[in-house]
Amino acid sequence: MIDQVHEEYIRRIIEYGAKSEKVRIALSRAIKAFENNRRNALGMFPHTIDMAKEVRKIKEYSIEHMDELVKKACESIERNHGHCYIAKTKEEALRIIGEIVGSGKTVVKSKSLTSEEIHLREYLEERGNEVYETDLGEFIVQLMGTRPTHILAPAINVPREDVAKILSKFMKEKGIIEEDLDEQNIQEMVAVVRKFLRDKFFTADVGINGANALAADTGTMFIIENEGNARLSIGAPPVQIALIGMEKIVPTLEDAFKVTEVTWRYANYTVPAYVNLISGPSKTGDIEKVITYGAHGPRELHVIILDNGRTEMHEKGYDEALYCLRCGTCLYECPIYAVTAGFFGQQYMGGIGAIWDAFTTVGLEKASPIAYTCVRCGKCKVMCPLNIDIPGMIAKLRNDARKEGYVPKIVRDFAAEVEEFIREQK
Amino acid sequence: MRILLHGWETSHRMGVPEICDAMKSIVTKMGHEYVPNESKVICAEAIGFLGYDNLTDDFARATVKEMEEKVSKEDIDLILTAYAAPYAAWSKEREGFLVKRGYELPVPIEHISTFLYKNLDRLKFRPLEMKVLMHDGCTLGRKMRVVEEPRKVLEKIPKLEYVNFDHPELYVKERNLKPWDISACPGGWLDFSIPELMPYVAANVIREYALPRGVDTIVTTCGNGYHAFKAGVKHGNFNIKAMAYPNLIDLALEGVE
Repeated sequence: MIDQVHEEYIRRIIEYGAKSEKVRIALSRAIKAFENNRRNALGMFPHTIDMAKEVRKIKEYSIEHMDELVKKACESIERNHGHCYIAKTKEEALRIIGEIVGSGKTVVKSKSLTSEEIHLREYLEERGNEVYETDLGEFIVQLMGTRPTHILAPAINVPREDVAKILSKFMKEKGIIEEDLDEQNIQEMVAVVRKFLRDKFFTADVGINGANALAADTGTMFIIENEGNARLSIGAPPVQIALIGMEKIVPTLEDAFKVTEVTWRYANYTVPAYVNLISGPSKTGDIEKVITYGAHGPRELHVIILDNGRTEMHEKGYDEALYCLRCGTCLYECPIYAVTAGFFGQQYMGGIGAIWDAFTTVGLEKASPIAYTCVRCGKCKVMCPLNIDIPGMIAKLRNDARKEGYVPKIVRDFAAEVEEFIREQK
Repeated sequence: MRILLHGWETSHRMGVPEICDAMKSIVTKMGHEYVPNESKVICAEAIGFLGYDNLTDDFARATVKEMEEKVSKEDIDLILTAYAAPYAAWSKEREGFLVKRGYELPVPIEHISTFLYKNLDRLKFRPLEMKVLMHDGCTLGRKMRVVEEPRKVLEKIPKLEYVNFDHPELYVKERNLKPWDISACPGGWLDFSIPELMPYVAANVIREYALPRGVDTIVTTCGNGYHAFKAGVKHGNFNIKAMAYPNLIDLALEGVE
């Protein structure tokens, strides 16, 4: 079975990733832009480099005290008149969200890797809801019917010429435009998406978001964004649902500020256009100081804290993967990712994605070929703001895969030669 | 000295026997005798990285046993390699994997760059009018920080110009990162798992880092990396040469004083 899995994975990574000139060109452009922007961001705010060391300590503490922090965060959210749920599994999270949303609704989503992890959009669509990804990259991916190929820039592998074609087709069908979009005019592409989605934000029944950090002491979630789609998704519909991985919880509001600042800086922004802080549903006390919920923003806030393999990751010694801020640095620095994009991975991507995929999405067998794609060159570790030891975890994951019989044939054959050598020497 | 050239079988298996030729030539020019190590033995640490931690101790024991026999039989004074992994694992000086596990080889091991560096005062080079991109192998450079030695040797070659993997320079300065921190791996280790992918990765590293620097040649201290770069040049049909570090040195080395 593993040989079939490995073969299928190789076919995919070579055919759709390595052989694609479009993927290579799009990534080459994106990586150069990322490097320049990050250089500017860190040059302008050099304190971020030391702050990253602090954040590493915050994450170390937080993962060590994950259960305690989940409990505390939930208490804070409930205190703020939000509803807090703890979902042990993907199925539990989907059931909870499915019950809140129901069917026949319009849902606007902002970008969330955690929602990709549990295939939330597809689940809600199957239940008869109209679901729109509102992050531009995610929206393009949704129209293409594919999956994100970078954690921050989901359509990073799609050159502008292809984006124009995809948007032209869709927007003409919807009557938003009459003529095809200019393949070089990115401004025009952005404007047409804005026009289409604007109406959806204000007619949606439910808004769904993820979060970059959640402060346990105040129950405040932090959402970094640039487009403004997250704040519209969060603020306009009457019901807000937040799906947050339990590893995102940190002890205090101050810690969460540090986590988010380091995240956006290494994600190549001097400062993002928006940092949304949400602690509860919309409320007002303007009439006789009587607190009334549902003023201009959502009257309901539901926060689902997701485990789905994270506790197991911690128990099995993969804590460092849980420190990940999702800044995307390791992907931009990875020489394999530079020619394969998200095909180096399943739901998650790159070397660290192998660990996440093993525990939260496809399981160890399907994650094994990803682990064997990483060359353990260590550039990701050096470049990571938290110095996460991805090569170390890859070696550990390969050993775990070997114990379950999930090693690809080419490696098994090599190991057999080594065993023969050992026998000869005995 | 009688020198055991390790990595012989690996070079032949990967189709880069020119590394062995260069190693032989360098050793001979320096007035030493060589003995090729034709054994399939690789460093014990690598098998652990590939997912076989259960074999590492037995492998380390078997490696030491084989080396002891060979050293004794051939009267070897030194083991020399163009590959970073065995040097990283076996070097007593660098407190490698074997040493940490309580094993010791009967004679020292040197990487070709550290060996040349230790003999730098005696080396005589002819001029080489070349501009090369210096690629630090991931294990040797990023992990072990063996970075000064290969460069000092290159600096002794008249007319040779080398440039580093130091783009983008400002970013490097701010994080105190060095060229060997940011040098990109051409995917030599894919040979063990997905060899089909290696030429694409290597070609892209050449395209992104070497071509814009206007170099004639990309030279690497990593044996596996050389194998990958060679495949990358062919795959991309680039007008650039890939060289293993010993091959470049052999081209310039006249002998010793």
